[in-house]
Amino acid sequence: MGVLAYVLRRLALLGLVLLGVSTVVFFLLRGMPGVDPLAAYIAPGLPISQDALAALRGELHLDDPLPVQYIYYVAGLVKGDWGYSRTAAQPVLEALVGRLPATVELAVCAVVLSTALGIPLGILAALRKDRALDVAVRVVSITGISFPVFWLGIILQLVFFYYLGQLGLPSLPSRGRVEDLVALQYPLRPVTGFYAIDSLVAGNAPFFISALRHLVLPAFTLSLISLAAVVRIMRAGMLEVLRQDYILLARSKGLPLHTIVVRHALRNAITPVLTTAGTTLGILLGGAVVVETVFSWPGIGRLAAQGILNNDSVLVVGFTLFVATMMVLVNLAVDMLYAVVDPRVRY
Amino acid sequence: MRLARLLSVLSALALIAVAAVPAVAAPPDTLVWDIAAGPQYVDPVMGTSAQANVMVLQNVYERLVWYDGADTQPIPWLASGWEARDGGRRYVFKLRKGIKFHDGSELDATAVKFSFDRAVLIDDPTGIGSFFPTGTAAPGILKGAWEFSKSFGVGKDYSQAAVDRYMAVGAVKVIDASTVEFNLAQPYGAFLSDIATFMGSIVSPAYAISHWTKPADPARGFIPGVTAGQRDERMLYFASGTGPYTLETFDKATANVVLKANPGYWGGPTGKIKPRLQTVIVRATLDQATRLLNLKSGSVDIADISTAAVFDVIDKKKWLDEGKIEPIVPGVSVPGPNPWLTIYFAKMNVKMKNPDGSPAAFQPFQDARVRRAFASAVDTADIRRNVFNGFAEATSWGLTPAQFGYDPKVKAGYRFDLEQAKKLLLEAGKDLGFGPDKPRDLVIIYNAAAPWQSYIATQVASNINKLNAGLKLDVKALSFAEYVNSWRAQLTGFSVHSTFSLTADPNPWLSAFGTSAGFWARTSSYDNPKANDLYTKQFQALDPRQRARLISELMQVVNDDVMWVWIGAATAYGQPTFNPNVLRSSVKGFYYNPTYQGFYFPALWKD
Amino acid sequence: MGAPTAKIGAAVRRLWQSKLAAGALAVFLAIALAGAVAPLLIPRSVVRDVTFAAKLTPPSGRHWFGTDDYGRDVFSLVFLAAHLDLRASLSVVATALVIGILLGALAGFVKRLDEPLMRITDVFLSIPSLVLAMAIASVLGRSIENLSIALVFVSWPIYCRLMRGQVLTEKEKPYVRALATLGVGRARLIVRHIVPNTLFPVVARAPADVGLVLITLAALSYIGFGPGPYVPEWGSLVAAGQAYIFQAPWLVMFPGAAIFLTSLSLNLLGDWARDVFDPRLRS
Repeated sequence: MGVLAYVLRRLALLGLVLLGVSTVVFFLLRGMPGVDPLAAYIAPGLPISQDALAALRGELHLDDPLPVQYIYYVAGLVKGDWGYSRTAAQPVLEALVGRLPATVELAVCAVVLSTALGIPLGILAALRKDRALDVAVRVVSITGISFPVFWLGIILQLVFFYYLGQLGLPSLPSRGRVEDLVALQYPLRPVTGFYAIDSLVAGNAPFFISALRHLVLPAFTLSLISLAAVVRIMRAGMLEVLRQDYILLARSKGLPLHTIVVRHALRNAITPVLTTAGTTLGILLGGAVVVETVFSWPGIGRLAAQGILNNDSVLVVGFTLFVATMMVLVNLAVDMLYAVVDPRVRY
Repeated sequence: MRLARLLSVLSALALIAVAAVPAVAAPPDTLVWDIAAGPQYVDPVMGTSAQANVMVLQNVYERLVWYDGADTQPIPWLASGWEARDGGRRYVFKLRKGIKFHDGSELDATAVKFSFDRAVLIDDPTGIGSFFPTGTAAPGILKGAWEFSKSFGVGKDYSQAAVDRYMAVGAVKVIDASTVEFNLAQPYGAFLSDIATFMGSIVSPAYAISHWTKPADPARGFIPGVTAGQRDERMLYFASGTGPYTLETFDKATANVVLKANPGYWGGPTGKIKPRLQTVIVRATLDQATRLLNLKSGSVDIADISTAAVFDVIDKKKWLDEGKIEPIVPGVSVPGPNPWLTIYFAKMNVKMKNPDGSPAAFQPFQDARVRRAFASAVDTADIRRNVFNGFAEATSWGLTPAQFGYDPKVKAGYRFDLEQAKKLLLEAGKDLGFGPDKPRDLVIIYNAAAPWQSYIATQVASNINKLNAGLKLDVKALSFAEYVNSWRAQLTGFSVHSTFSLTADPNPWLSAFGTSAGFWARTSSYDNPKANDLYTKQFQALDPRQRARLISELMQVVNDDVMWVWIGAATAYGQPTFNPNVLRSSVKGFYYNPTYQGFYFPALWKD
Repeated sequence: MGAPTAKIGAAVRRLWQSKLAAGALAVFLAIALAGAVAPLLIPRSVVRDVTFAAKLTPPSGRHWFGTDDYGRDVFSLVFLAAHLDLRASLSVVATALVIGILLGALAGFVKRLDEPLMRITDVFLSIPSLVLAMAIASVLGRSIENLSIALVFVSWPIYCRLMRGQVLTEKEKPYVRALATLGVGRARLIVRHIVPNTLFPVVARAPADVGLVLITLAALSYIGFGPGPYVPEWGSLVAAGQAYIFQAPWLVMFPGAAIFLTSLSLNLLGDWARDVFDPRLRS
C-alpha cells in the first residue's frame, strides 16, 4: 500500500470528521430548539425594518426545511462564506484569517517554550527517577495542570509588569503585540503577519525588540498549559525506552549516559510527544482564548471572546469550525509525517 | 544535563536582555498623551461620544467665535465682528481676511455657508442634524433645518427636491466674500455659545469637494461636496481646517492621532498664537495600569486616570477629608477639581411598557409618593464620596453648578431619609396593591459596562428591600445595547444614567429633563405643560437676567414633580471631556476653561 | 477478577499509605464541606448589600480576605462561590459519566452501534473542549446552567470511548468465555460481571475531570459567561477583581487560589485513583 493510498484514506476520514463538525455547528446555529436563528444576526436594541428581516431570512434560506438549509450552509462554507460578524464588522472567515498570524505566532512560541523546557525536564526526571529532582518535576507538573491559566496570566502581569514597574525596574509589557509609540515611530508593513519575522526581515530593530518583549508573558503563560503534559509524556516515554534491551546493551558497553540518551533513547521517546501534537494544539487553541483575553492579544481567541460578550453566535460558531479545521489539518500533517517516516503505520 | 543547563542560561540571558530595553521617551517639542479611548471620527457634523473626537476638532478646526484664554465670553475669532438683527432672528458676521485652510484654499463666506449647510444636509443620526434640535418646543435653530431633518420622526426625504427646498430657504446666506448671514427659525439666546463649540467648525469646501463623488443613486439629493443623508467617508478620517494644528495621521485601527503644528497658522485674533509643541501624539491606551505606569516612568506627558483610580495619583485622606489635591506620584501635577459637563442621575418612568409595546399592568411610578420614596432611598452623599471618590458635587438640578442659569436655591423634592421612604411606600402600597404581606417584584437595570451604575443600583435596591415595605427589587446587568433599548422602549421603571452636554449652555439639559419631547423626559413619559411653556420662554429670552429667572422657575416646577434623582454633577481634574487627565510637571501653560472641549494645545509647552 | 468490595478495601489502604493523596482528599473535603454549609451560614444580604465606605479594604481581622468594590466581604463571596462551582462541576462530571458509560457500554455490546457512536465521539473530540463549550453556551445564553449543559456535551465522549474500550477488552477475557460456556445468561454476565470490572478504570478518571471541568467553568466565566455580580462564582470574581488588581490584588488572589487548591487536590486524588484502579497507566 503506498503512501498516497494511506493519505487519501486519512483525508477521507478527516473529511468525514469535518462534515460531522459542520453538522454540529449548523445545528447550533439553526437547529437549537427555542433559539431564534436570526437573533445572532441582529444587534439587540437597534431597530431593524421588516424588509431587512425578510431579506435576511431569504438570504439564510430560513424558510426551507433544515436538510436543505444544511446543504446551502455547507456549500457556503466551501465557497468561503462563513457568515458576517457584527463584532469584527467583517465576514467571519476574513476576520479569523486576518487575526490568525497573531495567534499562530503566540502558539508557536508557546510550543517552542514548552518543548524546550519540557523535554529536558522530562528526560531529567526519568533519569533521576524517584529522587528529589523527579519528585520536584512531578510536583511542578501537577501544579501546572491545576493552575487556572487566566489566574497565572494575571499574576505574571502583576509581578512582571506592575510590581517591577512600580519599583522602577525594567518590566515586561502586559498588553498587545507591540508598543504603540514604537509602531508609530518605526512603522512596519506586515508581510507574513508574524511581527517577529517581518521586523527581522525588514531590519526594524526597535519593532523586533518590542514585539519580542510583548511575546514573553503571554507565550510563557500559554506554554505552561502544555508544559506539564510534555513533561509527563516525555518522562513516561523515556522510562519506557530506558527499560529496553538495546539500552541495557549500550550501557553494558560502557557508553556514557548522555550519549545513550541523545543518540538512542531520544528518538524513540519523542514519538509520543509528536503523537499528541494534535491534541496539544487543541488544548493550546482553547487556552489561547483565555490568554489572549488576559493579555489583550489581538488574535482569533480574543475575537471569539469578544463575540461572546456581543452575543455574536455566528462568529463564535465560525471560530469553532475554524479551530476544528485547523486541528484536523494538523493531525493530517502529523499522520503524513508518520507515514513517511514509519512504514508500520500504513497498515 | 549540560545541554539543558546551557539552554536555560541562554534563555535567561535573552529574557534579561529583552526586558532591559528602556522606555521610549518623547523629545521636548513633542507631547505624548495616553488617552483612554481614541477618536472615532474627526468630522464636526458627527455628534460625538468620544473625548478624542472633540479634542482633535478643537485644535484642527476653528469657529466664527471662540474664547480668549480662560474667559467664557465668546469673542470674534474667524469672524471680525457680528451683529444681531430682527430681535435675534438674524446674525450677520464679518469675516477676517487672509486666513487659509490647511489645503491652501482661502477662508471666505462660501466656506462658512458650506460648513453649516453640510451639517444640516448630512443629517447624521448621531449628529447635529437640524442643528441643535431641542424638542418640539424649539424646533431647530437654522431656518428650514427642522423641516429637512424631521429629527424625531420617520420618513426622511433626501431627494434633490428636499435639498433644493432647504437651500432655497436660505438659512445661511453669502452676502459677499467676507460677509455671511444666518437666519434662525426663531430668536435663540444661546446661538453664539452654540456655534462656538465644535459644531460650528468651519471646514474647507475645496478639500471636501475634491474628495467627493456624486452619489450613484439618481434619487439621492446633493450639493457639490455633500450627499444628503450620507456620511462623508473622507471627512470622517481626514481634516482640513484653519486651526493651529494639522491632522497628520489618524489611524483607524489603533485610534492613534498625530497632530503637527501648522506653519501657516494665522495667529488667532491677537496674531500672537503660535504653537510651541511641534508634534502632539495621542495614543489610545486602553489599560488604566499601563497609562499610570507610563505617566510615572515619564514616557508620556499626559495620561487619562479615571476617578476610580485617582488614589493611585493623589492622597486619599487629604482629598476625602480635607478637599486638598496632593499628588503622591513625583513629577506629576493634578490640576483641579474643575466642573465638568456631566450629570449623574436616576430616572423614573411613569409609563412602563411591556416588550410588545403595550402599557404594563403595574405602574408604581405613576404615584408621586413612590417616586418620592425612591428618591429618598438614594444616599447621594455616600455615592458622591465613595463611588465617585469625591469627584462629584451635590446639585439641585440637572445642571452643573458652573453653568449659566444654575440656581442653588431651587429645592429638591426629596431628602435621603429611609424612614420617610418606608412611610411613603406603605401608604402608596395600600392604593397600588402591594404591601409587606403581598410584595411585588420590580427590576432596576444598569449598563454592565459601567460599574458605577451597578454600585448605585445595588445601593438603591438594597435600601428599598431593607424597608420591607412591599416592593422587592432585583438588579439586572444588561449589555450596552440592551440597556439602551430597555429605557428607550420604556421597559423599565428605574434606571441610572450619566449625561454629557456638548455645550456649556443649559438649553440641552433644560429641554432633556424638562420638556415632554426632551431626550430623557420622553422616555419617562414626563409631560408638564407649564414646564414646556417656561422652556420656550427662556429659549427665546435675549436678556440674561430674564432668562435666568425663567430657568429657576422651570427648575422648581420640574423638581416638584420628583421625576429625577440628582445624584451629582461630576468634577474632575485636568481637562476632561470624558476622562480626567493628569499632567507631568514638565507640561506648562495649562489653564481651565469650562467651555473647552479637551486640550487646546497651542497653550501648552514643555520645560 | 476479584469482588469490587475487595478492590475498594485495597484502595482505602493505599490511600492511607499515600500521604499525599490522603492530604489532597482532606483538603478537597474541607473545601467541599465549607462550600456546602456556606449558603446556610452566610446570609444572602452579603451579596446584595453595599458598604461603599468599606470598599477595597485589604485583609484584616474583620474581613479575612478583604473587601471588594461594593464593600462586600470577599471571604463570604469565595465560599459562596465554592458552593456554586463545586456543585456545578460535580454534577457535570456525574452526568457526563452516566451518559458516557451508558453509551460506551452500548457501543461495546451492540456491534451495529459501535461505528456510528465512535464517529460521533470523533467529531466531538476533534474540537477543543473550551472552544466547543463556548460555542454551545453562546447559543444557549449566558448562565451557569447553560455552561453546565455545554460542559456535559464536552465531557461525555471521553468516558464513552473509555467504557467502550474497557467493555471490548473485558468481553474477550477467558473468565467471561468460561462463564458463558457454563450457561450464564448474557444479561447476568453483563450486569454482574463485566460492568463492575470495567467501571473502575473509567470512574477513576472522574476526580481529575472534576478539576478540569472546574477550571474550564471558571475560565469561561472569566472570559464573559459569568453570572453577574450577584451570583458569586470563582471565575467571575477573578474577572471582576481584575479591574482593581493593582489597587486591590486580594480580589484576584483569593478566588484564584481557591480554584487552584481545589483543582490541585482533585488532580492529586485523580492521579492516585488512576494508580489504584487503572493498572495500565501505572509507570
